Amino acid sequence: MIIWLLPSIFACCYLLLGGIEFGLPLFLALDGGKQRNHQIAQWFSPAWEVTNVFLVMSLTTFMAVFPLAIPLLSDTLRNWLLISGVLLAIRAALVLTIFYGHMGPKLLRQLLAVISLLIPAVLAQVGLALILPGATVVAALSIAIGAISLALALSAGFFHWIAPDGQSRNLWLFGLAGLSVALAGLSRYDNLALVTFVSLVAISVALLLGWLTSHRRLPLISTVVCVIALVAGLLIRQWPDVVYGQVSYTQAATGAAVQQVILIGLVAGLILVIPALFGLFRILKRTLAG
Amino acid sequence: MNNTVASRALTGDSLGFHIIFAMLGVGIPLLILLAEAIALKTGKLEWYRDARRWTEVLVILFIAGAISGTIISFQFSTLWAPLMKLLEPATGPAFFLEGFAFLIEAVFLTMYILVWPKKPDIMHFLLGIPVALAAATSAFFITSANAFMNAPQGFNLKNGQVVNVHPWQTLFNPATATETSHSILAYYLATTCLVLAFYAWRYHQTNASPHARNRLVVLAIVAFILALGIGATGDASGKYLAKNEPVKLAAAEGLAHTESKAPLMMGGMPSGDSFKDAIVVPGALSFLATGSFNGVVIGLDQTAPNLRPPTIIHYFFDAMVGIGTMIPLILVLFLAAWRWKRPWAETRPMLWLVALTGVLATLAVEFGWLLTEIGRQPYAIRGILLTSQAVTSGDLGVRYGDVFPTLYLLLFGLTGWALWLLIRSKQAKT
Repeated sequence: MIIWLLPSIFACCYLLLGGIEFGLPLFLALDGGKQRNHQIAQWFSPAWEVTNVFLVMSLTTFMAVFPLAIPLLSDTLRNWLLISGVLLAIRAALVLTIFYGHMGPKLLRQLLAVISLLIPAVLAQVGLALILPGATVVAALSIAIGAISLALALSAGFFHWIAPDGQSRNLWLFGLAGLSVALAGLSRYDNLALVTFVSLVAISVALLLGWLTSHRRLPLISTVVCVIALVAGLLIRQWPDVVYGQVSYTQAATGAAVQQVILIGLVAGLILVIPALFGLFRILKRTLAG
Repeated sequence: MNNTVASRALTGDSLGFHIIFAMLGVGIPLLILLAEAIALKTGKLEWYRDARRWTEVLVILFIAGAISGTIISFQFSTLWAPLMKLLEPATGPAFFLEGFAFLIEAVFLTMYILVWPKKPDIMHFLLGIPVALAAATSAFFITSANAFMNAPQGFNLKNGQVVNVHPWQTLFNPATATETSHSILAYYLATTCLVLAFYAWRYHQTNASPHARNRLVVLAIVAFILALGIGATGDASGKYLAKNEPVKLAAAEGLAHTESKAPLMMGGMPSGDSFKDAIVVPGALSFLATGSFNGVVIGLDQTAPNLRPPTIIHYFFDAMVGIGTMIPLILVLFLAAWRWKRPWAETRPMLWLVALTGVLATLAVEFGWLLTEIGRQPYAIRGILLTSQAVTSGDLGVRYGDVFPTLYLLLFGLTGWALWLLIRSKQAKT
């Protein structure tokens, strides 16, 4: 059971960290001043590589745990994965240019913002292939809008926590509103109706609280809670399938001996990673707060 | 160009770039630890400053390496779907553990950079140990997955499906020990030589301070020790090949017939299954492969012509071994000149020769990888799956054939540019 949840846990971590990272360049493009740009640069390097490792972990864990689902997915996913590979490479090039080239011209920062928001939209199609195989254009568009909005909401929430201001609060509200639109688009599919409804209620509560209060941490915490709830809801709805309606967890799973090795590696690694992540969070918080 | 060739070229190109980032990602943490250990032991802040500079370089390379690695994992699951269908159930744990070690490295590296005391500190040094260990562990597991493709074991094939997997056997297959030890030591050596090359090249451009001299000597000593280790693991690899992958060794040596007192051939022009006009050392291949000049070495005649690797690997093998011999000789010459205070020790020609080791060692890593991969042809998984069967049907390789090499060139160029900016900014500060 734990092993089956692994790819989702790593994907959820990527969704949260990646969401912050993909949304941040928008703030860079909006040019919020030297201090803000410096804070963004500090987040990007060195936290950047940790974020991307979670993407690698989600993929490798999924392939290790559910190897028999890969042949079913490869036809649907190959173009999306290769396109996201191209976008990630361009983005890495832009990151190197901007953060090591004294922020570069505004046009480059705008390009980075656009590409950064395109990546979650493309990667979201990979998730869609799992929850709604053979999805329609409406579903593809909805999930793309949802992914972009989520990146906006997370990064704005993160910024509001570090240095609260009107711009980050408004962008957060805008992001959550976009996410609601996306969820409404997905709610027409029977298997997603309940999950999207519950998520919409949760987002509405967060929006209302955000509108009424000016709490510093609320935007980030409520968005993180919404994301975790959404992923958990999708997982529960998905059960017992790994690719909805096509292959179940038990059919796609690797053998018990392989699961055992993965579990041993996981436990050994987590003994190091969990305290390290906790320490890292504290250090980052202190550094970013200046 | 057909899809198989295009997919091979595309993946080869991606891996060829990625291996350089990966190599430096494994090697630099060791050098950082070394510099910080010397700083702790001697209290010399110059070493501590070096450790910091190298860490900043590592971060830039990490950014480029993480992305090139992600792209490769995408490419494998899309361009090589039939290969992954067989490979993933068996080597899933290796990929997972590699990724997990990478995660540990990333988290500790981030902490290591953020917590940087003004003076050498034992706690900070200890924080660097997981970075270096995780980098090596990550390299171990990914190389173990590659070793599995050379020596597959620990599973059954049933109706084209991999079943009954014994993960410990797949992880620790017959090729694991030699391939991982040889590769990781080669990464350490190439990185050390590259750093040594950089400082040797810049020696006369900057003030030749006592620290600059000490740094060159320490790096040369480390590189020399590593080169000796590589010689030992290279010898073990040769013996492994003779026993487990004889066709690869036979193709690398142009050994047409199974024979005792087999000769070692260097250079030459391809002529049938062998090489003409090559430098021939009688019995040397038998000695290297079996430990005896009379030992029998299996030749190409034991394998059907359509299942033999291309003869080009002979040149990769020669180049790798040649470089592996040349590097310790250059280092010994340099160290001896320093030890006995020869006037030419600090001259430009000597330092350029030392700088050449960086380029040579990097080339040797590339040649070694080409030897492993092309030497396994026509198989993707030796004896199990042909490369032509391993590629995804369609024209994906052809379609994306131009995009990725261009992007890699861009990424490579910008990484170099970022490193140059970093060096320049450090120069301005000092």
